[in-house]
Amino acid sequence: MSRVLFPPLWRAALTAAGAVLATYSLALARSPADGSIELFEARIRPVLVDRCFECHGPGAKKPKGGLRLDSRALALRGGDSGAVIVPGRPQESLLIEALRHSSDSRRMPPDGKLSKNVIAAFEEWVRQGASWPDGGSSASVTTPAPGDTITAEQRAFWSFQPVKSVSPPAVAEASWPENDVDRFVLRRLEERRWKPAGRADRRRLIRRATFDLTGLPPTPREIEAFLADGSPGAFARVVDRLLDSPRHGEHWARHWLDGVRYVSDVGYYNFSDLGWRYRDWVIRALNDDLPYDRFVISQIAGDLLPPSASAGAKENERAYADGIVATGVLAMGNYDDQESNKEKLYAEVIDDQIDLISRQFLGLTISCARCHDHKFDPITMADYYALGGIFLSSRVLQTGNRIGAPRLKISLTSAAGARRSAELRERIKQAQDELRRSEEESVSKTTLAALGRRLEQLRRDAPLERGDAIGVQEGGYGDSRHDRIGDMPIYVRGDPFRPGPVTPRRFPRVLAGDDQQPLGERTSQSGRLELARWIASPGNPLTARVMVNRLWQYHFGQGLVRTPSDFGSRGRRPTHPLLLDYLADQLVRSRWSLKAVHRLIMNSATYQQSSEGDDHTLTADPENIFLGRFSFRRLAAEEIYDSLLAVSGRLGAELGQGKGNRAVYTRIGHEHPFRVASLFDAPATGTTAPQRTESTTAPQALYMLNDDFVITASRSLTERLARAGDSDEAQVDLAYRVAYGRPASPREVRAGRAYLESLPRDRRWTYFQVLLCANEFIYLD
Amino acid sequence: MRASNRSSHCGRWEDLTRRSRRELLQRAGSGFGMVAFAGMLAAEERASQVAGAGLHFPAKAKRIIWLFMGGGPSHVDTFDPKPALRKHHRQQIPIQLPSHLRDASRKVLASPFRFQRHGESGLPISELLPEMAKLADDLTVIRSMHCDSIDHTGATMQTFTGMVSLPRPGIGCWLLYGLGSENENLPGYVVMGPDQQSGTATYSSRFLPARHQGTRVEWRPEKLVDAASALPNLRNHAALPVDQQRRQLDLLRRLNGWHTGERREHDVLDARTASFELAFRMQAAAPEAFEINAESAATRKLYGIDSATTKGFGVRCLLARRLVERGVRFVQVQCGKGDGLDWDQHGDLEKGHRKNAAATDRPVAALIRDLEQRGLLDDTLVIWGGEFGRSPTSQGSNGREHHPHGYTLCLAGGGTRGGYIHGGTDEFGWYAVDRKVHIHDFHATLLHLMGVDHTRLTYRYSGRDFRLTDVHGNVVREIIA
Repeated sequence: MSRVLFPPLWRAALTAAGAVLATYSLALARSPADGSIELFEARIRPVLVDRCFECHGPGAKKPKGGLRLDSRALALRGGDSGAVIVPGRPQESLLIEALRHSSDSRRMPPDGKLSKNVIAAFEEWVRQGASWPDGGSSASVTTPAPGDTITAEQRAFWSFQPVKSVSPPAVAEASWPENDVDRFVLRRLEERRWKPAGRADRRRLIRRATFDLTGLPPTPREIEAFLADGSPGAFARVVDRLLDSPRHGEHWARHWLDGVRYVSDVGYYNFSDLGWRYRDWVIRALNDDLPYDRFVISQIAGDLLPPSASAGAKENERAYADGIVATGVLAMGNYDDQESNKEKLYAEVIDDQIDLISRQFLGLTISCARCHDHKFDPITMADYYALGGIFLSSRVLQTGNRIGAPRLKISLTSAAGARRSAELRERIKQAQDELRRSEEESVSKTTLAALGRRLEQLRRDAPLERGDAIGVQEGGYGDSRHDRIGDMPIYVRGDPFRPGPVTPRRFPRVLAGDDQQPLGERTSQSGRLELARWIASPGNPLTARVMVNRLWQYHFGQGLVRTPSDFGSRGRRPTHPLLLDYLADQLVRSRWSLKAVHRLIMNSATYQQSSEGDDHTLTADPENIFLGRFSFRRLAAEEIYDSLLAVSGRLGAELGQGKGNRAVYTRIGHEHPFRVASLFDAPATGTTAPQRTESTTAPQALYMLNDDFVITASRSLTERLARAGDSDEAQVDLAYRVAYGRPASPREVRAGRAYLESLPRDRRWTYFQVLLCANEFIYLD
Repeated sequence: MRASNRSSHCGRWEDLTRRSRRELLQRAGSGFGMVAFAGMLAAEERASQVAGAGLHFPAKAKRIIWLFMGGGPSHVDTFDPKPALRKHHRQQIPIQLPSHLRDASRKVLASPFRFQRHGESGLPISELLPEMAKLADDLTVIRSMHCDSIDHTGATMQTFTGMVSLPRPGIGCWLLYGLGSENENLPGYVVMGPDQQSGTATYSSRFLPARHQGTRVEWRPEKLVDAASALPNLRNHAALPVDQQRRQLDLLRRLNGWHTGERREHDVLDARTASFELAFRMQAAAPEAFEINAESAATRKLYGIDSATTKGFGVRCLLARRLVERGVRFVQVQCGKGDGLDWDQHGDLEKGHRKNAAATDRPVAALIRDLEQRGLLDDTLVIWGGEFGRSPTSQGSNGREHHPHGYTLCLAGGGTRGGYIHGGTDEFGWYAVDRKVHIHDFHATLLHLMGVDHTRLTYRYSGRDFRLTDVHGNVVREIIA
């Protein structure tokens, strides 16, 4: 294997200039269409052959100065004086210097300077990256300089452009739109001369909206209330009611958790069972409509947020705990927690964190640049390790264990909180003592009561026992090379045992520009807070777009960008780019309120369409790209599970760990797969699933027919209906209202009654089980 | 080494037009419990199976039984004799060792077991495995295995998924995804035995469709009271009689028919109705596969089910044969910490290895012999081995440490040569040196035997096409018959 050694001086010079990132990678994958290859073939190669090869060509027995110029790799490897080409940097390329005859020692060709035009062509060629089609040579090493791997075309890629403030387009059918969202959708339909579907009927609409926002079926009473409300804005009020329901956070938290490889039991072997704290935080954050920018910042750097000057001590204490809990997501990765080789382990940890942050928040696959520059997006290894330095300046694992590393267990009580807690405990003790003495000394009743009240008050002030959480702390890993805050080297080919040049901590260049002040100069901290604020800034072109696209996807089944975690060049392009920008802009304008975007989407006519489109759009647009109807869908695993609880009257009213009984609260880990959920396509333990698949399998049917959970639900439903005390007809009808949100038709009543009559009393549940197995129970219009 | 493959790294982006029809169909809902396109696919599936065709080229093996010896049996005490260990017993090992040793000392530890040559091939096997030794001419011993993790979790994960820690689908999931199952009434990928320290990570489908997940079945003889308890939900929890359930299904069909009504998008609805019929049939067909009592007394004895020592592993081996006989694609049989057959002898090597060998040797040999007698060995590949070997130097006075740098995996049947030793470790059994086989190469070879090109079995996830072998893997052609 060829290996390049930079002469120390040359290397030092380059590093000092801050110019060269010695990136070991494959020959740059440039498209043959690249103009600089044409330039090379037309203007450069002929000159090389004519004027240089005699001394530096393949035929030269002993190439002069050890330099050969018959392939890109050889030119980049250079000769005795080091590399002669720094792609993208003609002024730093020895080749150009020599051609210009600007130094005394090195003037090439020695027999006479080339013409001005030819030298200019060489300069341009180097500036464009020195493309050189690989003629089958074993070129394996390049040394691109910063900037050279990002072309103007790459910079112009749609998702890197700032979000535009767009005005909704004009439409012909002006009476259809309910809000501006519809204008964008209708415009594209009208361009094709297609028509949107009719409105969904009210029963289907409230069923759709209730599952959509809460993951549960509407109750018969909620349906009737909506049907009876003939006033304008009736549906908007349903949406508001559902957004206010604490069930909303439970349901949408599950969507978020799909994207962040959530588990409650974190780790394979040295596992921590504290993952649930993060889940409960997400549920609360979504229920409270925590602004999305704050939601993002908390997860990356919640532990670094300063206390609020205007908030009380107790509030700040709660915010402190929340800040740590939110960073739990950074500690939830899958790595071998028995790994005894620490450098390897920490390389995996930061890779997991970079992958998580970049895909979930930015829709970029930055992890692809771990071993080489990203093949398709303008993300370099330097970008990767610049972020890596940020995360490697923090820690999520305990250090000092020889084999394996359990998650950090971080106290949720701050130092100030602990002091306050100790003080209060002391004062409570004093108050108790005083009260006891006073009782013995038989002082007046009023004095006693006052003392009692004081004690009471002190107890109220005392901070709650908050316990521990997994999460992140500043400072690197004490048992590794990275035992403090600082920059990290590139790992050549991703190998932690082949450290390359150190990369200053900063953000990806294509998004944040070439002239960033390194984070090491801006802060003495890891840089996580700066990274978090940069991601969550309104100017970041990706953050808001990626999130509104996720919201859209969960409302409609598909996003406007159908690769929700890849907004790069290998991802799909937006089907409605203007609408995407409009929504992103609205998110920022609403102070990052996710509920505001939910409202905007759900109150649109687009959302309220029937799932039955006309024949024409069904054939012409089977994937429903143009949104000329609503997409009919199967319930997700958790919706099926929770619906079974709900219709059988067994859904718990409370939220949170140890209290709620919805699927989202199920313990899940590598030792505890949630079998039912994965049966119905929930992501496998520890895997991200920005979109779920929808499979139909026999084991699902076996579950519905035979499992204890379904049979218990059927029995409970049967009892619930029997308690209503009515006739079979009425029970059948009520069952349809509970399970499907509609009355039973006469033939359905007849079929139900006949079936029930044939059953002994203790088998009546087998009829109601069939209603739960039926398609109408788990498909949604 | 594997550099030649690197040129394709990440160049494996999905070309939609090139995706095979089968793959498209499988994505649309087939595999275990294949339903959505059952009619269409079944015909095609059968056609390819009858012809013995793999996905990309003719298959030598149609199914795999992986006998996973959790904890890591010692290679230098089973299949890789090293006389130098005796010579240098308790002395400093005179070779350069890796910087990271975990707890291994530098003092050589001789094998307490005698080796003898067996069969016409003269394969050396230690006294630990007398029954397997009788089948020496059927065995292919790869002595030059190596992997990337010195810890159980990482090495076990890599043994099945190719990756030390990242969550990736296991090889069984990949094969099911690529080849489907031959029996739609049974899961195509079955796991038996205690979960290893990586939990479900070795058989989780991860980003592959969930139906390609390994199905963990009951294997403990005491829990396997009747065959229907082997698989989840095969038996109605309320013990509803079959005729009653038949009536339920008839009603279900009517209700679903009314619901579908005039809908134009009814494919998935029809498929779901069909899935209930398939489930109903599975209830009848699947338990039979787990009915060990249907085997003759002689067969049960062959597998050691008559003896307390061998019963536990014997049941698993016998079930494995019954499953592959019925078209299950991949059976993963495990032993380890969870059943007391843990090969992880950091101390008391001799005692521990003797106990584990005594419990497994006879069932393993019985399985190979039984498959052979039934004409199944030719196209069933049996794999024996752990996640790594054990250090030629001692840990404590009489134990051995984990050892990923050079170790042995043993194969039988499925188009392998038999009576053949591939590659080798150095004089002390420390490093694989001759014709090294990385676990990626091993995976590539298994896929090759199954008629699958490991570079072409890909799945698009998160903007990238993933493969079992990532960017690595070279087929070891020498072991193929």
